Amino acid sequence: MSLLRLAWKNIINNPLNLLLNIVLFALGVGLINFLFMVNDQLAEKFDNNLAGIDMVIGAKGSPLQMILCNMYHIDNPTGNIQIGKAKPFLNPKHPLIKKSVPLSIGDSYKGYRIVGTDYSIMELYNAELEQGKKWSMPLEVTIGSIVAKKTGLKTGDKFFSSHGLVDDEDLEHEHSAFRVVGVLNNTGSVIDQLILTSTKSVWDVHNHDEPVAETPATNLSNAPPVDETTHEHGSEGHDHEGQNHNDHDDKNHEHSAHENDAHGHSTHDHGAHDHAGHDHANEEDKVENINLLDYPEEEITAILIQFKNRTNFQALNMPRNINANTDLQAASPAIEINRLYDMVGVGTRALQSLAFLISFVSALSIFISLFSSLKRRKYELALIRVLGGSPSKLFLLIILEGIILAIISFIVGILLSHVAMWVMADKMSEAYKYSFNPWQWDIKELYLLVGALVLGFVASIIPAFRAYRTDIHKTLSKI
Amino acid sequence: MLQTLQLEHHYTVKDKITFPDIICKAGDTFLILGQSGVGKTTLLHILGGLLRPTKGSVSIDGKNMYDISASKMDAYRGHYIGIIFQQAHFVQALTVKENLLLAQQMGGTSDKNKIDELLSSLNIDHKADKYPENLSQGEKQRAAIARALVNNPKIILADEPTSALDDNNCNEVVQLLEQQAKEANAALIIVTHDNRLTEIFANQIILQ
Repeated sequence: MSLLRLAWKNIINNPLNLLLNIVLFALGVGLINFLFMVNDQLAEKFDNNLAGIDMVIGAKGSPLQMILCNMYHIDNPTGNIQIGKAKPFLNPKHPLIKKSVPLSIGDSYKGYRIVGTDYSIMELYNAELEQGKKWSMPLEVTIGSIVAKKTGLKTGDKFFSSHGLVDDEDLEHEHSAFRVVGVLNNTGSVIDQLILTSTKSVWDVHNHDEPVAETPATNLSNAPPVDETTHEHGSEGHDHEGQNHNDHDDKNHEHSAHENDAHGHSTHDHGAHDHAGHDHANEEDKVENINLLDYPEEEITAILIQFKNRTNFQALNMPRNINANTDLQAASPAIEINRLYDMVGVGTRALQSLAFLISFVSALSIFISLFSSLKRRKYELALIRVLGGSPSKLFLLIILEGIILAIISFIVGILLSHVAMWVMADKMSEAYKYSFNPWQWDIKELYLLVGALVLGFVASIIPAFRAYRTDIHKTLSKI
Repeated sequence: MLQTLQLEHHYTVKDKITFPDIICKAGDTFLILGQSGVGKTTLLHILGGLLRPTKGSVSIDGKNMYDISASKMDAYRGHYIGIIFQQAHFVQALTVKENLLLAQQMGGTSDKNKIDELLSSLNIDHKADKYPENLSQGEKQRAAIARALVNNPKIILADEPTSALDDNNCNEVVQLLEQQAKEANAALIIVTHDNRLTEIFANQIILQ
């Protein structure tokens, strides 16, 4: 009958008290750990999805909304931008820009967004093909791993997209079906939840109902010289566009028209075109051969931009210049996400305070139940002394009882938090477009264990000291 | 063998109790009689190493118990002295057998056969796995005797062991006590005001 066993027996001898203590303590531990998990996994998600993006350019509105929409695919777009106005930033020869990824957002399938873009988005998120191939013909899509898992779509399947970003069958575009040609591997980033297609495919689906308004050329006064030429070229090419865009079924025609245009007017654009299409030089009808710069009055939602050198002075000033001098909006993801952390942080901190309060109350409850058990057990404690137990053994006994309670509560609390995460993972995954892993264990749980042990120790130290000072003679004489 | 010499205990300066000297050989039984409030329990606690006397000595086999340091006293008591209280206290969370195991662990011995032997010779082996609250008074007292004997002590102290028992149980418990003490070759000291016992034991002193 070791001391540990005695402590254990004493604890389970009072099941109701045990239950109360464990429920309280486990609630505290569980809530703290749950918050840790959500915070960590959200932070991880935000970090994963930063993907080296230094700037996002989109329509004027809330910069945070623009970031959330285009990088995390949570919020709605702030609006669309005309390619003509954003030409400099799509130009692969821009001196400051390493990579720019166009995004066209607006349709979805079963809640998963269909994003019109180009292949560079895969490099951005380090995505590779799990099976099939990349989209190359109009209306071909390559889907993220989670989309494939949750919707059951596989290579060869066809589906109708629905207009808007929520799942609504009434808004289906029934005239044009997308075809899945490939599935991406799991990257742990937001691309897992996207349906990727060409920008052209998104336009095609939409241009059935929406005529594109002609837009006057914009004066990009602050753009670097190299961009000016592109811009001007864009407005020149405008007429060709206008003729062609209602004619989108005839892709060959449209494409060759643009090619001529590009060759005829600008060596610069020619280079851009070659670059975009160089994988498929012989297959002219493929959508990837299309150069967005040839469609200046078409619209896209945003452009994700990586700078060549993010500490470059001009690059640092670029968002401010864009916001001040153009109709576009530019925002830095790092700044906006920090702002978001600050805002969300208040709620998290309030919940954390609550969790710590519960933990404190649970420590108090352990203290009170141990303390009151001393009164009930004073003869038992004196008896243990009579049987040869030293005062320090009594001290240890009570401490052990506190610590055993803490350990049980810790285990229950940790399990509780993971089960809660498991229950909520699906819902949160929808809301945050990120798959939470409920069974991801963290070093913080070890810290929590240490914290729980300290709490159990502190709660039992006064009762233990009282037990230590048991006066056997006085206690046993009182009968 | 237990021997006391000029024991005195002062609760306060005025409240002073002196005790007659006691000699009790191994295997013998010694009765300490007296009315309530004359210091019977105080003497028992002094003999049991629970209360340091103000003056005098308590020797077991010629060695003064109170020469032992306070820190070693608990282990000494657990090993050499078995005490039976008027009210049989047990650790409520443990079964009878586990209570005896606890006594062995605290006393620094380990002998499960001894426990089984004692329980069956005291005729409560069928209650071994019961919790103390499910035992009758007589059974509790017998379990307490078993616990006092579990470490083969040199001294067995019994404080009013029969006061809560009827005549039948009283005789039975006293006989068991005496018999077990003899078998263990331990000195048995019974503190009581129970007149039923005065006729059984010859060795006795009366506290005034």
